[in-house]
Formats: sequence, C-alpha cells, structure tokens
Amino acid sequence: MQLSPAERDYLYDSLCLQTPIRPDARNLYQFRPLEAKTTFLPGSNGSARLRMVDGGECIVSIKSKVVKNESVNSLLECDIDIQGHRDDSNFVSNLKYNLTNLLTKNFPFDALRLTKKYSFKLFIDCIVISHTSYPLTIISLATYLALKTTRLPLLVSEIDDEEVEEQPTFSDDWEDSRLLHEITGQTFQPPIMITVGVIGKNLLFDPSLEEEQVLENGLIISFYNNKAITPISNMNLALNANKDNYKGIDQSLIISAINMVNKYCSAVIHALDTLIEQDDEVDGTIF
Amino acid sequence: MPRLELYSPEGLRIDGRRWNELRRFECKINTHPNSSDGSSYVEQGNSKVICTVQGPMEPKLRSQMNHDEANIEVNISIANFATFQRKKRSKNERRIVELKNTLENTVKQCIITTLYPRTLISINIQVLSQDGGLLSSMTNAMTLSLIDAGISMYDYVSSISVGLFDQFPLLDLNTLEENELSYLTVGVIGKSDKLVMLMLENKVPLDKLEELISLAIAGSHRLRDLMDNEVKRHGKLRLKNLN
Amino acid sequence: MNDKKRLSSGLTVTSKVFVMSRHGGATKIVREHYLRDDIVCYSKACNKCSSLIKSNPQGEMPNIALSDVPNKIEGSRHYIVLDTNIVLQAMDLLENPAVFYDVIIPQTVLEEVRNKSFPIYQRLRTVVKADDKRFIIFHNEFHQDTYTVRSRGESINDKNDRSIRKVASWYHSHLNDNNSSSPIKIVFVCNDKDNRQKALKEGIYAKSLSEYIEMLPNADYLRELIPSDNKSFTIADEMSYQEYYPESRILGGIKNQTLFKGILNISRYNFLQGTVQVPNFKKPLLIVGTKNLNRAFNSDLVVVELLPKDKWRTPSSVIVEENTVDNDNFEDDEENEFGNTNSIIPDKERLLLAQEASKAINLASSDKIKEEEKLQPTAKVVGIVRRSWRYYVGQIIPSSVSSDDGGNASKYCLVMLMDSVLPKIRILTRKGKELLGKRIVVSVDSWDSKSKYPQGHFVRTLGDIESAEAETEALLLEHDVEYRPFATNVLKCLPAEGDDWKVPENLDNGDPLLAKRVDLRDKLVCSIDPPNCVDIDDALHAKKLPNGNYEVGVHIADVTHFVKPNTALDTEGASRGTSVYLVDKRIDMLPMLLGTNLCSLRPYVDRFAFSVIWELDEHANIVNVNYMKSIIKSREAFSYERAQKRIDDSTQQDELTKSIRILLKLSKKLKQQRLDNGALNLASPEVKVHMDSETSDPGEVEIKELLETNSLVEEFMLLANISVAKKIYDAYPQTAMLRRHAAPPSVNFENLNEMLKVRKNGMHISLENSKALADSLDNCVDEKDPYFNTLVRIMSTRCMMAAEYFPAGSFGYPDFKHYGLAVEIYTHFTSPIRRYCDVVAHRQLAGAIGYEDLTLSHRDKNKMELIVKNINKRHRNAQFAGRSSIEYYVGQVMKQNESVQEGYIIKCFSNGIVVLVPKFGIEGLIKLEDLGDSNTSLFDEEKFELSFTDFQNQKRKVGVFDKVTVDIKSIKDEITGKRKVHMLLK
Repeated sequence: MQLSPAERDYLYDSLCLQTPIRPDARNLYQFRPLEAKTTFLPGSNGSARLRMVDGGECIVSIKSKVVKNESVNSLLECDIDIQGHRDDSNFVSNLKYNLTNLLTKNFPFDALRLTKKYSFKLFIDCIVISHTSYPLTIISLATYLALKTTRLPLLVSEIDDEEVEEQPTFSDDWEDSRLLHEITGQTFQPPIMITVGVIGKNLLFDPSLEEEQVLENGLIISFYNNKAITPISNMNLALNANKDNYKGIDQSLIISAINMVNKYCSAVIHALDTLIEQDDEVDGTIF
Repeated sequence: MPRLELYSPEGLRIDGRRWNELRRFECKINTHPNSSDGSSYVEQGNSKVICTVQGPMEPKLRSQMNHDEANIEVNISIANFATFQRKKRSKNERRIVELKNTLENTVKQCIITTLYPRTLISINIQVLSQDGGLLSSMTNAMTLSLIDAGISMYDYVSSISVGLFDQFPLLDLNTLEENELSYLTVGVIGKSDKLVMLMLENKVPLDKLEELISLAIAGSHRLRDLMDNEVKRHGKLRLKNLN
Repeated sequence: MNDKKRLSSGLTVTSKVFVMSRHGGATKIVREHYLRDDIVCYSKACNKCSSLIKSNPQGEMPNIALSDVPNKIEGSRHYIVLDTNIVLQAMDLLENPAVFYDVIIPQTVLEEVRNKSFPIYQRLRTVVKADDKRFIIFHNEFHQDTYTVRSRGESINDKNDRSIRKVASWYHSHLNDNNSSSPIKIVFVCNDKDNRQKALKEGIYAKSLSEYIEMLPNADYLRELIPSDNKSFTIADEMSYQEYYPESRILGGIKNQTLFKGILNISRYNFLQGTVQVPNFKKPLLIVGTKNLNRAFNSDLVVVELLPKDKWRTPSSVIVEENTVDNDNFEDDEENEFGNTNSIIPDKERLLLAQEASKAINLASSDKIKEEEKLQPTAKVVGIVRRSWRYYVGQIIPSSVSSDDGGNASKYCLVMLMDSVLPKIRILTRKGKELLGKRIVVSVDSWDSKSKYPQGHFVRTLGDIESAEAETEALLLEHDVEYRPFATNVLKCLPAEGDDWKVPENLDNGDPLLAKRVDLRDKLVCSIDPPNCVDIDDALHAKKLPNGNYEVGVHIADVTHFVKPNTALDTEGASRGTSVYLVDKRIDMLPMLLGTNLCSLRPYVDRFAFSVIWELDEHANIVNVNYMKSIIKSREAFSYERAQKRIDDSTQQDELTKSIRILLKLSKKLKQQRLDNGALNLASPEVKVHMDSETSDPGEVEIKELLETNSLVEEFMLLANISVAKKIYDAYPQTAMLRRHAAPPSVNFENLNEMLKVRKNGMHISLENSKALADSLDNCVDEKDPYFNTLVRIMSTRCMMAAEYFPAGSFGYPDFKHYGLAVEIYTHFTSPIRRYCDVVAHRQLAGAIGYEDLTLSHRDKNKMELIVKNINKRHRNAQFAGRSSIEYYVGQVMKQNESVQEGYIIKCFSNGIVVLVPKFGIEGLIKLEDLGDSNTSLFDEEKFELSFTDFQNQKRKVGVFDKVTVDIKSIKDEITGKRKVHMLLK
C-alpha cells in the first residue's frame, strides 16, 4: 500500500523518536509473526513454506542430483521465481545473487561429497507467491528451514572410485536418508540474511512495507554460526517508492546494526528450529 | 515392455485403486486472504496446485481493457521441482502456453463476463507438485478461487482425466499411468453433461471415446460435490465469524 | 511418511517413499498407495466375502477359484500360501498337474518374482489364468488388514517375509473364525529356514518344500522333481571361479567403457571358447577357457573385461571338431595363468587396453600384416546381466553314476545336454541308474563360484533315447515350441456347438455382422492342397466376364470370426505364433476344432470366408479388387495331383474344370511377370520322409516334387497377400502387419563368388538387384552336371537374409520390399489357421473395409512390435524344429541302410571337406585323417583345393563344387545319444 505524503511524514516522525513507535507496535528487534511448514513437498529432499502476517509467502524446495565433480562449477544452484517479475529483471537477479553468494561462501560442502568422483549437487528453488516488503528475509528464512530439513539418500556402493569407476548406488529405503548435519556429524546452521532499516538514529529489524517507504537506508546483514558475517550490504529496500528520504549511512550505525544482529538473531534461529520440531505431526495438507 | 501391472487381472491399479475410483482429493478455499481476492489450494493425489485470483480490477494497460466484458488472463507457473526429476521451465514453453489457452477458453465460458466490463481478472496458478491430472487440478483450483473471489459464474467447472488401458477406462490417472496410456481430460459444467473443456492427449479410438467421456463426467460430478462441501464449510465459518 | 488417511470413499491412503538409483542418480520417489477393505479371499468356502465382490468395467465377475473342498493333507483340507523362493525355484512343480492345488500367491511374492525373473512371472500368471490348478493372487499390499509398514532398520527382504507370513495368518483366521463350515488348514510352504521359524513362532503351519511333498500320497513320484537347494549342496571347493563384480562397478565400467556388455556366443566347434560382440569393437572379443567364461552359458547377456595384451591370441585357422568324447580331458591350457587376474587394474590402463584392442582389430581386418601377427583381443566374463536358462534336454553320463547300490539315497550325477555348446549339469537324484539311456529334461538352478558344474534338478523323462516320442518331444523343447494340449480356458472360447456348428440358415437373423457378409455360395469355388489335407486354408474360383476379363476369387478361412481379440484363445494363438510341422506330427497354433473343421474350407458345406476378388484382364493385370467377408460353398477339394489330372484330361469340360484352367492360365502369366521383375527361384535341399503307414517307421527319403498346380495356388496366394498388404497399409500406415525381405549384403556372397570365380571359370552372382541376381543364377550352369545349378541356388539361399514380419511404422516404404518375391509390399494373409500374422492381417483388413472395428492391440505400435517380435521368433523356431525333425528321421532311414551316394563338396578346409548329399539333403564333414595321409596333404586356400594321398596310395585332389561319391552311414554317439552322419570318400 502506497502512503500519502501526510502519512509518510507522520510515520517518519514516529520512527525517528528516541523510543520509536512502529505502526504494528513491534519493538525494534522484533520480527513480524510468521508461520511455516516443512517437508510438505513429497518429491523434494527438503522443503519449506513460510508466510508473514502481511501475506508475504515463499516456498522453497531443495532437490539433490548426483553429479561428477569435474563437470560442475558449484554444488549449489539457487533459482528464484517471483510472481509478477521477469526472471531476468534486476530485482530477481539481485536477490538470486545475494542468496547464492551467501550460501556458497558459508556451506559445509563436505556433506555433499559422495565418492572421489561424485557429489550431490543441491538445487534450491524459491518461489515467492506474494510479497509486500522486500522479500529477501522470507526467502532466506524459508531456505534456512528447507536446508535444515533436507535429507540425502544413503550411498551404499564403494566410496573409493579413484582407480576403478563405480556407478554410485544408493539405499532404496528413504528411511536410510540422512539430514545434512547427520552426515557431517557437526551442527549445521544454514546462513540467513536479515534486513535492517535505518531511520534517524534508529535501526529497525524486518521493516514492513510501510516502514520501507520512509527509511533513510536499508542494511542486509548475514548471520551464520551465531554471529554476523559478511556479506553486508546496503540498499534501498523500497525499490522505486522512496526517493526523498533515502540518503547515506552513518558508519557507527553499521557497527551497532552488527551488534544488534549478534545479540538478537540467535533468537530468530531458535524460533525457526522450534518451528521445525513442532512441525513433526503431518496432517497431509499445507494450508 | 511395460513391466508394471498397470491394471492387474484382479482389477486393481498400480496404486491399489479400482478402475472407477478417484484419488485422494483435498481442497481449501480462501488460503491467501491477505494477498489476493480469491484463492484456493487443491491436492489430487500427489499433485498440488495453488491458485490466486486478482480482480475484477482496473487493468494497468489500456490494451487489456474490453468495453463489453471482463478481460481474463491465466498465468501458469510450474515449479522447477514439480516433477521427480528437477526441470527448469520457461513460461513460454509450448506445453504451458497450450494449457494457458485451454484454461482461458474454459473460464471465459463459465464466468458471466458481461457483468464486469472494463475490468481485468487475473488468475495465477502455481503448480507445486505434479503427479498426473495437471490440467484437471488446475481447473478445479481455478473454479474454487473464482468462487472465493465472488465472481459470478454459471456453475462449478469440475475436471478429471480418464485413460484407456487396453479395453478398460481408468479414472483419474497418476503420472505412472499417464506415461503409459492415452488419456483425455474433461471440464464439466455443474451437474450437467455439458463439457466446457475436452483435451485429448495422443490418440483414443473413436469407438471408446463415449465410454471414456461418460466415466469422466461421472468423476467430475463427484469432484463437484467435494468442492461444494468445501465452499459450504468455508461459508459457514465466515457466517460464524460475522456473528 | 507412513501416515494413513481415511478417505470418504472407504479407501485409506498412505504413501510409499523410496530412492530410485538409475543411471547413477538418486531420485526420491513418492507414490500414493491405497488400502482397501473390499479385497476378497477368492475362496468358495467363504461366507464373508460375497458382498464385497465387484465386477470389472465390462461387468465380468472375478473367478472365485479356491475350492470349498480342497485336497486333504494329513486328514485335513488345506490351502497353500507360497513364499517367493518356492515360485522361483520350483515353478516346474507349480505347473505339474500332480501337485499344488488351491494355492494363494501373495502380491508381495508376485512382485518379488517379477523383479527377479520376468519369464517365471509370466509362467506364474499363466498358471493363475488357466484356473485348472486354482491359483489366486491375493493383493495383500492393498488390503488394509494385511498391509505392512517397513519398520526402521528392517531390510526390504525381512519386511516382505513379514508381509507374506501375514497373508498366511490372515487367511487362517479369515476362513476359520466363524466362517466356512469345515475348517481349512493354511499351509505356508517356504524354503527359507529363518522365515519358516518365524512363521512357526507366529503359529503358522509352515513347511519346507520337501517336508510338504513328503506329506503327500504321491511323494515317491514328486520327490525326484524337487529342485536342488543350494544350501544342501555339499561338493565344495573343487573349483574357484572369480566372483562377479558388484553392480555399481559393472554399471560404472560400462559407462566409462572399461567393461563391455554383449551376448555370449559359444563356438559350435569348441565349447570352451566363446565370443562376445560388443558395439565398441568391430569384431567380437574372444573368451577362452572355463575360468574366463566364468560360469556363463551360451546366449547369456554377459559383461566382460579385456585381458592384458600378453594374453591376446592369434586366431585359429583350423576347425576344431566338436568335442564330445569327454570334455574333462580337454586341455584348458592357459587356465591357471588366466585365473589369477583378480587384482584391480585401474581404469586408465583399461582404457588404454581398449584402444589397443580397437587397433588390433582394425589391423587384423586389413590384409597388410602377416597371419601370425594378427592378434585377437581376449576378455573374461565379470558379470551376468541376464541368464538364458530354460529347460534343457539331455541324458545322464553313465560314468557319473556311482556303481554302488547305496539304497535309496540321492546321489549326484552329471547330465550331458543335447546342445553341445552348454556345460554339463549336476543333478541330485535317487534314480540315476533308472534314468540311464533316457532323454530327460532338467532345469538349471544356480552355479556357485566354488562348483565346477552348474547345479540343476531333474524335471521329467521323455523316454528312451532314439525313440520317436522322446526325440520329437526333445526337439520341441529345444526349440521352445509350446506343444502341451490347449488349456480349458482356451477351449472354452470355442463355439459351444462344437463339431455341429453351422453357418446360420437364415442370413437375416438380426446379426449386423452376418448381414454384412456377401453370399458367394453360387460361385464355383474349389480348393487345391496336398493330398489328405485337413486344414484347408484357401479356396479359389474364376470365371470369364462378359467384357472378356476374368473374375478371380481367393477365399481364405475366416478364422477371426472365431478367434476374437483379447480372448484366451487369441492370446494362446498369438503366443504360439505358428503351427509347427514335424515329419510325423503337427503342433497346432489353434485348437483342432477350428483348424480341421469350423474354419477349414471343406467341400460341399457352407463356410465363412474372407474373400479377395479381382477383375483381371487377359494379361493378368489387376483391373479392380474387392475385399469382403463372405459365405462360400466349396464344390470340390482337390489334391495337387488330382487337379493336375483334371486339367490335363481334355474330356473334362465342366464349368469347374474350365475355371481351374483359367486359373492355371492366369497363374502362369502372373509367374512370368514376377520372374520378369526379378523374383528369385532359390532352392533348399528339401526332402520328404515317407512314413510306413502301418508301423509309422520312416521308410524312404524323397526330394519334394512340384507340379504346375502347386504353382497355380501359390501365385494367387501371393497376389492376395500383395493386394491385402496394400489395403491394410493404406488403412493403418503405422501398424499394418507386413512382411519384408531385405536385400543380402554383398559380403555374404564374397566367399561364394570367389569360389565360382576360381573354380568355375569366372561365373559370378550379381548383386545389383534381385533381377540381376536371378539372371546370374540362371547363368550358373555346368553343361556336364545339371545339378550344379541347383547346388549354386542352395548355396545362395544360405547367403540370403531371413524374411521378417514388421509393423509398417518400423520402416520407410522403400524398405518394405520383399527381395525374394520382388514386390514392393507384402504380407501373410492366406493361412490364418496356422500363422498368427495372417490372423492380424485378417482383423486389419476387416477394419479397413469397415466390417468391424479393429482391436486396439493391432492399432498400437508398441503392442504390434511385441506381436511381431514373438511371431518372428516362433517362425524361426518352427523352421528349425521342422528341419531337426527331418534330420532325425533321415538319420533313422540311414541307420537301416548304409549306402553309396553322390555328393558335392561345398566347403574345403586344410584339415577336411564338407560334402552335401542331395539325396538326403544332408551334409557332413570328412576329416583329413579319413581321407588319407595327413602328413603329405596340401591345402591351396586360393583355389579351394585339398591334395592328399589316399589310402590306396593314389594322389588325389579335391575342391569345392567337385562331384564325389561317398559311403554314407549314420553313427550314434554313445554319450550325447545323437546320430551323426558319417561319410567316407570313395
């Protein structure tokens, strides 16, 4: 929903206050409520659907494919499809770049190795059914859930195929398949990306569509293994709507944003993990 | 050599159904109230489809405006992961364009378009999982979203596929069956015998056509009842919330 | 994901989730799986299930097969539930009418069998369908009470075992708790000890196969037929074959081309040597020695690996004679050297080796290098993709039966198979001595890597070696000819009236198909066939039209009026594919009632026919053609001879005779046209064996003689076939059933032409086209020897391609050509009683003329491909069986009279010659040792000549095409029990 100039002024002022008042009464570090469902796509190795109260919705599927190491550049491939946007638009390309970049730099690739010659390649397909605010958050969180629940088939043929070719053969029982962290034996916390709005001296987690329209700047901060990491970037989250307020960003604000992420994002991860645990009972349908 | 017993001499299909049985059919309407004017979700077996409707609304482009009736467009998006083997799909794939045209033609016959002149009704279909009966599940989802959006229609359009195994018609094919058999999909208006859609995949002998269509009509009528139950359930819920 | 969900329709849905590894991938597959409450138990004794019975879409009710008074075992009536291992190991017993009635096959078992062996699955399905043994399939996986879920960590085998046991306990409680009036015991027969023990614990009455057999009254007979159980096999470590590679390694190797897949072809001359043709190399790879053959049978689909280059061989230039004396003594020379190549050779080296092999093969096929330097790559078998195991006929080797009379205990003995390219089979039997001198049927069960011989079991005896019954049955089995009587469900498809069936008198009885028939009973139709022919496929008529042209009709038995598509009768006919003609026996494709009565166009009675009626002009050109289903009444059934006499007898001036004369006149013109177009007149040394009509002993052998009337019928049949082919191709361009004959590739004739050039002054067979070939054959004449031309024709025939059936869509129109007949398009239409192709052609023609709708299976290209593949195979087998039968009887004739005959040399080797004796249509090898002094012989390869000093100390020189006189007799080989021709040069 596009705000009128009066509404924008009012909102700008209330967010610049020392104790800002967000239109939905959240505090600064609070995410909007979300609901999610995992492992609902029968044909995928992992899947998640995540929906925000504002109607923003993203579905992520993870599918694996056996590839020869030499034949691929990367063992991860992300694809994003947003209703109403062309695949080759800047909007989609940027999101795709952000997500791919984050994941390829922060991923336990050992979990994907099968033999000396073969690996699994993961295809991460995100579909944004609808969105109001900048969709990176929902894409990233849904991807987190999907990766956490991704299972890979169990290899039963020889692991050493250096000298003599072996065609990889897998256990036909899906119950034998393993989660990524079960394969590596280490905890696995997929990286996520958080949007933070900058307005006056204030930082807002997960700005809504209305907030985005009055922000002075937007930060995208990555979070992995319980701490903020690079890439960190800034952008105008409101796309074309906010031209008047947008301006440069104060260095100190970036540092406090990182601190804020370090402090509060573990709670987000914890909430997502709880969601997965509670999602155990399967009722068949996803809505 | 087909090594699968698609239809065993004991009369059971590969998934345990008999020749005239539907798969699990589940539907929900008003699934995306915050982001669309009408929405629905349909599962037929392992086929899963989301449909959202925007409109009737003012079209963004003048060319989309029609002075006598509503302009209706259908957009289909099939997820890359919808099949067991992931496949990157372009929206301009011939098959998808064909389905889009079929659905647009179908829906134009059911909506009372003259009630909504100068408007655009945009129907978006997202296929999440494909296990046979693609056209049929899209049609059913479309019907439900349009009802949810409160758009005036003559009646339900319900749809199902029927295949031919040797001499026998089989109702509501899954992917395994679709791969082996020739089949057709019909769209039926309400509880009538009138077809608004008939899509025939490859060839069916003429003398078997009638048998296939009559089974398909019977199957569609059953689906219409199941969809009607959901619409009524949702209506009652809304009424309750109003009070 | 083992959640279940109940649906409104009464079904419960759950899902099957599994990983499919195909082509190295790992795809997660999820399929819905519906559970039902309406699967019936198929027992007549059951009072619960009757309300659940549902019909199929065509309203047919399922067959409730299990008897309410099944056989008794130890005093109580019983049904049997089978485990998978029983079906896989003892399918013969399941088919045996002496045992196993009222049998329940769980769906789990059916599926396991289908995955392990498709042929056994098909046999099992056939037994279930035939219903005389009361077998049923119980779909336990879809039954909500017997469905089982795989538990965590449980192997798929354990889960399946559990499912099968659940069927047994379900049946027990279903039938015996408040249900049938008399109790029915459920016997679970299972050869897996572990599973049996679990069953016993669960209170199931479980028995092993032998325990079950011992409980039966006819145990004495059945005991012998129990297949050998691998585990009870006690001969250990007599041999050590290399274990086969695991599947992952085989698949990987085939993909990166370090391993190769192909059909093993064991040499006819040396059973320890075989070749495998693989697409990667131009010539087949050589496999030498038992260790490298590694337990593979002839025509198994095997995977091979190249041996290191130092093990490659130079090809042998002599023929090694069939080794029948005692295979054990055959020097397996390099065996020890070859065996120990178990160490892993890296892919890189193996790829290099493959390149070397390619080079060596190319080099060997060029002429530039010396014979000795031509290396042939050798390989070893490392895996078997598909076994070609079937029933085999053979006899027990006397020396392998132990002489001490150890009472009734079972003993091992070896069976030598009739087919010399197969290894001996070890069987366990109590009756080794009794079975000596008999032809027996055995089945192969397994071949352990520690065992020298494959392990098999006795199936049954055919009778004494050299008795006509045993030998005939043996050759039918060896050629895979189905000769058992027709099953009851097949016979049920015949008209209920049986022999009394008649063409309805009232043609206007409301039957729309009957109304479409054309009444041709006024035409002067007659049939001309071999004497005493009972299955009359075809009849003819002709008459002069007022405009000077002729009306000629060919009438073919209307078999498809009785053989309706998709009936048991049709399926049986399609599976048999053709009737098989042996010297003393005919194996029918369709039941007698049809072949010799209802369909047979007998004289003086009304019969349904499928007619092709042409208008032909004076020169036998087609002016017009019509096809119709008709009713005819044949005026006379002639033999070729009688027809010929009637034509020749000028006093006969009745209309019928006149019409035969018209036919003869036109047929001659047709024949001339065909020959002008380049039709071939080839020859095969066909002989006929006269049977003594009283003793049915073979009497004399005679070469078949042809009369003008033979050719009369033949010409019109060809014309009908061509016309029908065109018509059905028009109507069904993708699936029309046609027959083609490809032009022979020139390499086939290289050798023959070389021989003609060198030995017959540059005679030459031209291959430009069939016309040129026909003409050049005509020119191959030796004035001194009238038989020479026939000889060349016989040898040419062997260079030709085989004709084959095909659905029209498989080839482009130019490739439809029938080379031998020199026609563009051809099919078989005229003998539907004895060939299935004709049945299909009839149905397609009926569809094409709008008589009735064509069944789907003849409109579906894939189904047509299957039909065609089968009938091509059956046709080939029938020919081989027929030839073997003649060969056997010729041997019997020769056994009684040793004689001196004229023969022709057709092949010449450095160590022997091959002589063809036209009188008997047989050929035989005369070894150099039997010709004369082998030390002074000289073989001139370029001239195809062998010079030697014979036993009279005369210098002699013989070469290809030479006419020679031979002493000929038949000798029986004591070990194989086979007769062989023995010839000596006079």
